[in-house]
Amino acid sequence: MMRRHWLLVALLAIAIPGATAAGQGGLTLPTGAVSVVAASADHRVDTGLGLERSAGPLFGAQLDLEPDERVMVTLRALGGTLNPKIPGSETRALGELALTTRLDMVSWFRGTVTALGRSYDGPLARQHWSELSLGGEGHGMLIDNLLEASVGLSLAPIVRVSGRRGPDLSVAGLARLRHSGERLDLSLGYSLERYDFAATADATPRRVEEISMLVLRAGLRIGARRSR
Amino acid sequence: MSSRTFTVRWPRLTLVTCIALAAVAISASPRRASAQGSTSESLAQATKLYEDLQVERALVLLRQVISSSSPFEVSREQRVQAYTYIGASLAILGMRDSSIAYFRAALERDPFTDLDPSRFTERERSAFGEARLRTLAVAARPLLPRRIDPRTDAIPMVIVSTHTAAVHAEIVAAGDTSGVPVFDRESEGVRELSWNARLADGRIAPAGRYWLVVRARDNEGLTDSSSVAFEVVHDLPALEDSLPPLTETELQAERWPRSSAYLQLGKGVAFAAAGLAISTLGNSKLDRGGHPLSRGIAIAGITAGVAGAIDRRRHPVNDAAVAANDRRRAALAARNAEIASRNAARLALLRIVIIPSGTPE
Repeated sequence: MMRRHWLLVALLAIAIPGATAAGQGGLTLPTGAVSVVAASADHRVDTGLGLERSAGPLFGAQLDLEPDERVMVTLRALGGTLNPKIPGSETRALGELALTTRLDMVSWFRGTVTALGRSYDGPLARQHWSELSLGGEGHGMLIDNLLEASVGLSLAPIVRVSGRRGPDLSVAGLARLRHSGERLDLSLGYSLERYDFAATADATPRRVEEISMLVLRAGLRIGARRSR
Repeated sequence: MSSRTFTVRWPRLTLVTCIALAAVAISASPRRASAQGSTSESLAQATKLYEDLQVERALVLLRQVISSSSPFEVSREQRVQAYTYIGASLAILGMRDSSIAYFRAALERDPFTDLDPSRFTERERSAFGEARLRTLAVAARPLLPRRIDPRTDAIPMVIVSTHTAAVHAEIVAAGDTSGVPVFDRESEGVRELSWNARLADGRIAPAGRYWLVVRARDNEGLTDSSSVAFEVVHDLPALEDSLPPLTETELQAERWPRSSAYLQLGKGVAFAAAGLAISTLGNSKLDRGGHPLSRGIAIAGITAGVAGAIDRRRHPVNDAAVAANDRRRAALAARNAEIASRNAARLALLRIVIIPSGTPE
């Protein structure tokens, strides 16, 4: 049920800006980029019984749409397998779908809203995560007209995890370099998400969890170029 | 024989009568205006005598008018009229040489002087013609006040030369030695000219003081010149000033300072530090093994910083500033073009007002 819900959100997110662009410019492609994504993920969790760490490559695709000079909508799908890095960890299949909307507020800052669905599929169980996070990114040109750097921070006030209460603290940080050329759109980003779950009255111990990723994206620009 | 006695009865002098008499006495006191009136009266009387063929009596009056001992003021026009009638009277009396001398005196003072064939005889006009041949005098008639459209109208002017000569007339602006020729050929008598109120280069004459200068040289080498002044005034709506060019302080520096290379490197290092700082967001309980992925973004940041520094060294031109300055210059040029367009529309409404000033010199 949850998976269907996210699929619907993703389809709407793609359809609305696309329809807007088509309505304004006839049959022209919406402005944006289509990319392939390769990531290295590092997942760590301490359930009170010791650290579990697994890591591995993720692969996926990303669609960026720019319906307006100030707005960018990104839909990203990633999947892969995280292999144990220390004894006691287990292999997990990771899949996620994230929809992020960025709104330029001033020339150097943009606000972000991200809706994310993620699942961990292990030998014992499958766990679904869904969250809505709000944040901001400061950005500027690191190399004139060539490379943009952005650093952001976000908080997720709504996080739902199947089979347990949501975390008390959910925070994420992001650092990204992006080249947006005439044809190519490349980026390299590092992100870390931290989730702290409090101990519960039924003797469930305190749980801390984080996932960090180094994401390399290579894309082709589509549609008429906008100055951003 | 009866004697008759006449008694004169003086009217009783009342206060009102005294005031009236005083007013009459005051108004009858000699003044400059009445002196001029006396000259006019003398001339009128002499003209009447001349027309009644009482030429000798007319001459007496006319000589009184031009006499240096005359107590009355005599204007230039009156003097010219007196000389003309003296010349005419002497011609009637057969004194041709004297007649010519007086006609010449009249022509020298006013080259526009002429004898009306309906009022003067052939003998008089013959003497006058001889006087014109012996005298080279040129003049320009004072301009009349008028308002013209410089695109369609012209300013009429009248010049005269007493006999055939090479006549050159030009408009000369105050403080300028080069004139705009309006007439340059052999001429005799009165000529009507026109000036289109434009300078030699085609521009509309700016407001200011001008002279119509007439020069002449005849075959015998005699020369004469005359000029008449006038003011040119522009009547048009106020024009807008165009905007001045952008100064250095108003434009962005188009070259990066040398220190900007270090700034680029610093930005890369700062970004790398930010990437490493993000890795510390995680719980310390999960730190075992460090955060190797964050090192990846840090290395990328430093690499980008170094590349940016090298780029600044090699390409110190601030393309964004150049583009911004070009945009500002283009915007300024567009605004000045709009101002020029509005001014052109206002200049189309320009009218030239001619104001005569002074008498011919």
